[in-house]
Amino acid sequence: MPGTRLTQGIAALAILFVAMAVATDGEIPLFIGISLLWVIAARSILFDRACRTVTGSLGVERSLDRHLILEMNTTRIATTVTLAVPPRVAVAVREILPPGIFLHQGTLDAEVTGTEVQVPLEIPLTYEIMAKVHGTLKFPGISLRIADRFFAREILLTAPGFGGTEILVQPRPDFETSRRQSEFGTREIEKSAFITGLGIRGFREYSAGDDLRQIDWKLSAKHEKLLIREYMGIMRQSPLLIIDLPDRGVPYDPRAFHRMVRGVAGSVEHSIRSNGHAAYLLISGVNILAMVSEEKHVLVALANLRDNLHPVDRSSHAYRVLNRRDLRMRIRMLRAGGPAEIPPEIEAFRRALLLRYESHLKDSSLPLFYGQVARALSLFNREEIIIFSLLEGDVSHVRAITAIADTMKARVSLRTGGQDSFRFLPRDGLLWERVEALP
Amino acid sequence: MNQGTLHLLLVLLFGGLLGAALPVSPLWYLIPPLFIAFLAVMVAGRRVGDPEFLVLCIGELLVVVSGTGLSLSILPLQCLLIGVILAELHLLAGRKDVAWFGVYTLGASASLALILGIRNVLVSGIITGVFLLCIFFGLTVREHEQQRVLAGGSS
Repeated sequence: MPGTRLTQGIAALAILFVAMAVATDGEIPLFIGISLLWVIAARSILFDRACRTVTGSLGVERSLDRHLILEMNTTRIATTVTLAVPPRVAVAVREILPPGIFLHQGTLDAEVTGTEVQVPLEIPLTYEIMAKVHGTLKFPGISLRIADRFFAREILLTAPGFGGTEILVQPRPDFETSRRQSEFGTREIEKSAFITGLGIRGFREYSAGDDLRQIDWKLSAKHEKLLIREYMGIMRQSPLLIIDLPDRGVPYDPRAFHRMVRGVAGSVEHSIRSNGHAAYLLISGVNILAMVSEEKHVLVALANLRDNLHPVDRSSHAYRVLNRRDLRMRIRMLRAGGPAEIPPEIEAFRRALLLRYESHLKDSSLPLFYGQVARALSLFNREEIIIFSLLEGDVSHVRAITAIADTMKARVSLRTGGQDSFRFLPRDGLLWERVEALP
Repeated sequence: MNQGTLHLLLVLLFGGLLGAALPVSPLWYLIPPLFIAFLAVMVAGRRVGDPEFLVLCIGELLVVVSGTGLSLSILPLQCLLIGVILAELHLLAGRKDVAWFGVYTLGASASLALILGIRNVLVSGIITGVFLLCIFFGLTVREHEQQRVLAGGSS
């Protein structure tokens, strides 16, 4: 057993005295050398007894949060080591991880020192591991480092009582082409569901009753056991809520705004409860304020809305700009002309207006807001859009959103808290599926 | 007994025995400065680190210079010195530690009796060495066996 520096020093001193005794034929150095060797011998007997006390009282209990995990995923492990430690003996416990498993969080080591009152001590080790290889992995056991002032010893405990806990790591579908597909108003989620998608979220061992068509034959041949594919679950896409906040500098109806806020909160909550998440875009005129692509917690979403749903100062204004679709429509109307006999001054105004519209249409540059909205809508990729707006004053930004959504084949509906909810009906050239007045 | 009190008592006993050896030792003039150095290292060394080994070295020098020849008087000096070192390390607190100190005293007494009986350095050295080697060999075999069982081998 390896000695500490003190033991090594005593041994060196003892050898020095013995050598001196042999060289000088001195009995006193011989006695001193031998008595020092007796110190080491007696302490080593005591240390051996301490080691036996520790290992004889040792118990290891290991519990895993999950015995089956996906490759590169983590799981929490709680190991409790029970042992009796003799007085003034230090014991360091270390958990040994199987190859391919790495410590993600927590610690694998703990150290205790024995006291005069020798009672069994419980050492808890709680940590998180990450599996970087797949297969059945077995925990080998623990290692102990027992030390006193004279000796230190490392003991590897890999007997079945100290290790043997198994964890099954399923392979990741890394070589699958696509995951989380999102189409036909639905999206794929990494959960099992009655209706499954096309993406693969993992593999697991075949059990009786599984669909034979889901067996992955290549992977099964590689691992020499039947593995089946687990497909993604399908969940309905939530609609995108676009909330148009009023301008602080322009008078607005507070009761209508209150109704709108209530409607927004209800829609967000309903979206999270029924679809698992909500997506919303906060705008004020042509100013984009905030974008939340996936909020899963009702309380967080409502707190966020409570902080943000207030009238804001608009830094940019649209000045009732017409979008290209409206321009074309108006040009067509003006070209069609009116009644046969119209006063010349009205005819001159019609021609001037036509010229102005045509020159605007030739200008190919698009307002910045169009690009921002187009990018945001393509990011959300929703098939249903609900716009909440008071429709006070300039509503050209609402028209712009509608036009962009239409090019993306998204259904748009408008909810307004104002009383005059039906003033923007399809006859006005807007393509909303329905306009609802909020109660 | 309190560890500090025991330590002080052992140091005083060791000093008393050295004082008794002063009139008979031919190197008596070395005893007082060495004993002062012994005490100084013991007190000052605690602030620096672990002074035990240095204290042991100076103590062994004191044991050597205090004796006129090998006699039974060297045994209590040597045992007290080891006792002082162990008390310094707080290793004389439990019943097992005291029992171990008894084992050590017995071993040292047997070695002294052997050396005094045979009066030959080489022979007595070889006999004691073989005996100690047997102890170390036995402990190593036990350790190996224990490691094998704990690693999952059959007992």
